[in-house]
Amino acid sequence: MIRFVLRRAVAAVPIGVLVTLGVFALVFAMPGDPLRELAGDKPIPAAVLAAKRAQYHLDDPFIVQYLLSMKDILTGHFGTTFAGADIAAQLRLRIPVTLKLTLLANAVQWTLGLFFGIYAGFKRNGWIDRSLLLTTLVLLAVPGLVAYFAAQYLFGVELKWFPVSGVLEGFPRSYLLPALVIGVLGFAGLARLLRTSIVETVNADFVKTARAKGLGEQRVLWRHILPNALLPVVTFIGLDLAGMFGGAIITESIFNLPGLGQFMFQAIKLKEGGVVVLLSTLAFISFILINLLVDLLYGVLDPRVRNV
Amino acid sequence: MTATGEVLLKVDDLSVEFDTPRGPVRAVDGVSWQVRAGETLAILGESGSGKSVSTQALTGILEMPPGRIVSGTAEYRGVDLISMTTAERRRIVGDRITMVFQDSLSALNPVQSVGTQIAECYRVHRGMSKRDAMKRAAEMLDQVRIPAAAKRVRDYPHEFSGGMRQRVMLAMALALDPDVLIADEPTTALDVTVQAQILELIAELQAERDMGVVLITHDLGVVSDVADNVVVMYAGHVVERAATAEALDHPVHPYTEGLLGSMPSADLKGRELPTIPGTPPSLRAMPSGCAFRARCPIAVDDCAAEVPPLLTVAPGRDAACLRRTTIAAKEAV
Amino acid sequence: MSDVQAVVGAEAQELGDGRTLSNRELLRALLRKPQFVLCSLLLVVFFAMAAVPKLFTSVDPRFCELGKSRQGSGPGHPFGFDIQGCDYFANVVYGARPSVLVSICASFGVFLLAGSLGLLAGYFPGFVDGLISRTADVLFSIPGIVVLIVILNSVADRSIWIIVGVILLIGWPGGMRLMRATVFSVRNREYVLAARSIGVPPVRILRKHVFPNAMAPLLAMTTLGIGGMVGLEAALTFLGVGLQPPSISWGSQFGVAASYRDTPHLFIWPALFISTMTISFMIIGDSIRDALDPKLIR
Repeated sequence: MIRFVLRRAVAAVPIGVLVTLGVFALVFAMPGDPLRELAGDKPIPAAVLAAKRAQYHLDDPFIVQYLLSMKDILTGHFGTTFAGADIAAQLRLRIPVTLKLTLLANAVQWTLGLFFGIYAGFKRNGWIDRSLLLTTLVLLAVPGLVAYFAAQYLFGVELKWFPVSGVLEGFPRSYLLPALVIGVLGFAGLARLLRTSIVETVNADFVKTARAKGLGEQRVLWRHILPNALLPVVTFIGLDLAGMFGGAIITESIFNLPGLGQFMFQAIKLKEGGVVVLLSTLAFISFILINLLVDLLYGVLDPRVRNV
Repeated sequence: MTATGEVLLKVDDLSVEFDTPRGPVRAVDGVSWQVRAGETLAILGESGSGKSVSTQALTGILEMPPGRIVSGTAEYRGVDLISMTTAERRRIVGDRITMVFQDSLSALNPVQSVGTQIAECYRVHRGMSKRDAMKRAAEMLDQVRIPAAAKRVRDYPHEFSGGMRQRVMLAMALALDPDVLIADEPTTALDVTVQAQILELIAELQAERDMGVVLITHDLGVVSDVADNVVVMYAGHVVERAATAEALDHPVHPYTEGLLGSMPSADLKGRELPTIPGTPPSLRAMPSGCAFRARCPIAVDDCAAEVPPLLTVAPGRDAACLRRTTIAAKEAV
Repeated sequence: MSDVQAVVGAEAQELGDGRTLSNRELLRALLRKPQFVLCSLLLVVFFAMAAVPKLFTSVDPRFCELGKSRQGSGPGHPFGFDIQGCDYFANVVYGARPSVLVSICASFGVFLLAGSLGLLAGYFPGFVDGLISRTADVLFSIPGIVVLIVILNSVADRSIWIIVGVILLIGWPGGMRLMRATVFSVRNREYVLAARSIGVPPVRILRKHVFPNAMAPLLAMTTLGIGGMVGLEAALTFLGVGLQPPSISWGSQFGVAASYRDTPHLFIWPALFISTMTISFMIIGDSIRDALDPKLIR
């Protein structure tokens, strides 16, 4: 077990270097002088410009800039944005926002997904099953963008059930609408996967064996069917959470939630290389961690993969 | 049929239908057989002959929609399993009547250790504690001759070879010392040497416990090896019932004859292997009268009129053939 | 890449074992489903809109009168006007082109790229597989949309083809993995081993034996993903890293609609069109997958 974790951690390092280097390169390959962008139309004296450039090491060779950035990130010195805001403080403000959104959205998604998926899997061809397939198809098909807007317009502006944007009303009211939309759109894939998995497991031979042992339906369900049927869902978690960060960028922009997604997007637009690299590194690390946890979980649940 | 111990399991006139989108299909029609203590009964038939269906129906593992038991009884020691409530039947099935299946890798729960699965029998039917049940499970593994049983009890099904896994299934089926063991093609997925070992094991354990064994198979070799009596099935009907030795030496029904004739042997060297022409009929489109008549070398017009009843040709010998049961017996029966 | 494709990948995995239908059988099976026919017709309409917008509207989408800004529908202008007073119906019709182009080209391109790379990775283990898989791993470790945004933002002049190119660049790992897994199961089939044993050269084996039998899951995944591409393009343009003015696209229409929440018709029409097109693609993809499903073939 420890060896497994170590092996994965070690393998992640070269990938991490590649990814951060790649992002760094992309960011600094972007044309345009960030300082000039910040200044806007006001002319800035050359000396001030030169000082700022030196402060941000903008004239040093590429590799040096990269290594300095990495050192700073890994030692927790996040510095400030070009506009002067303390990045660490920003993170402290924004991480909880994104976390709350993600948690709430996941709660909605998993509740709906598990409930409908399991129900449809067992009562195959019942009306819930049939309508589930159709509904999930529609939900998977509606582009997120459209759904967010529609929800915002319908429930926020017209019906006034939820605040339209911003976090003024705190948790959970401000987050409810975006979380609901993300969750409803997201449960479709989960429910389908679960349904298929249950249908397959129920027809498996070992279920026949369990019944032939004279086991009651409850025991067959909880100890034989579900532990096997839920396995594919575990891998789904990994993919799902990984996609969350990307989705956050759009959601937070539309609903004006001051989280990491919005931060990232603004940083890209303003060509804040440091912030982009920092957030990408964070995203990468959390992705690796989540996948590690998922793999560990899978190993605990399914003995067949343990010694591979 | 050779008769020794008391009748443990008696299936009488059992008919099972399946509801398909194109109408009901009769998987077994008027099937009757019985098994006594200490005896091995083989149910012989091809795929689709319905050989497994009667046993699945009586143990209650048949999927009830779309399956439907139309008529018949299955008596265990005189009590009808089919008319019992599910709860009552669950007390008997898995305890007094147990089953072993063909593909042990898919027939065992992949995420539970073999010990846990065997122990489950003790825990559910005997109310044992987890520790005691696991101990007994290890003992069972030893009884089916799995080496280092105490260690292997915590291993998972995928960590065993095919033959070993089949022994595990046997251990699970015999854990509670059942009266009847139903083995559904237990050796089909194994190679020949392992097959012999498993059959030997079943025979030994049967002798020790005076158990009745119902062996479902399509393999004539297996039948001649271990079965005392045989029931031959074709297209959902029983076509012949006899002691194995007699059925194989002097078959009455043309289908049994055809099966025997198509077994390869050294005597036939140099000649083309005779086969039964044609293929079994689809259960959805059964011919009128005798289901075998399209492929039968001695079929006459009357064979299409009605389904030939299973008649006793001689003591202990039953066959369902118009021609062989009305004409005076040709072979020495 | 997306949720959809992950789920479909899992669902479609079994297709690798199915027998292949001839194209005519497939077509006939598909035409029997009413939803397939309906959605195909809808798509034909959209394609026509993209190719020949003048068929649908004779109004010039760029002819704008500020005085008519944001007005609702009236005679001759079923969708009303946008914020600059241009006829909205014409704009929405013209907006079909980038969506159709991006979705079709990107999906087709990803299919080819992921398919070829997956084929190579699956059939030539060792260095080739290692290289391709490691690269995929790297691309997998970072949310695709971030890379998309970063790259697109650094390109000054974004045309449809640049967008398609970037999507291709980072969109192939998911399909590659699926293809690779399918190839793994196909390459050990008897007919492949037989072909190798009689000395058929590898490229021919790949082309005639492995690919036709392994492509079903990837095809299902791709067709179900085309719809997602439409939404992706809109999202990118909305965020400001997609197409730029003066090109007309549904995404930019959304972007404008976002700032004018009190004028619903600005948002409703492109939303309707995008959703319909995406759903049509999905239903078609679903139908193809059902038709190819060996469990349902009978």
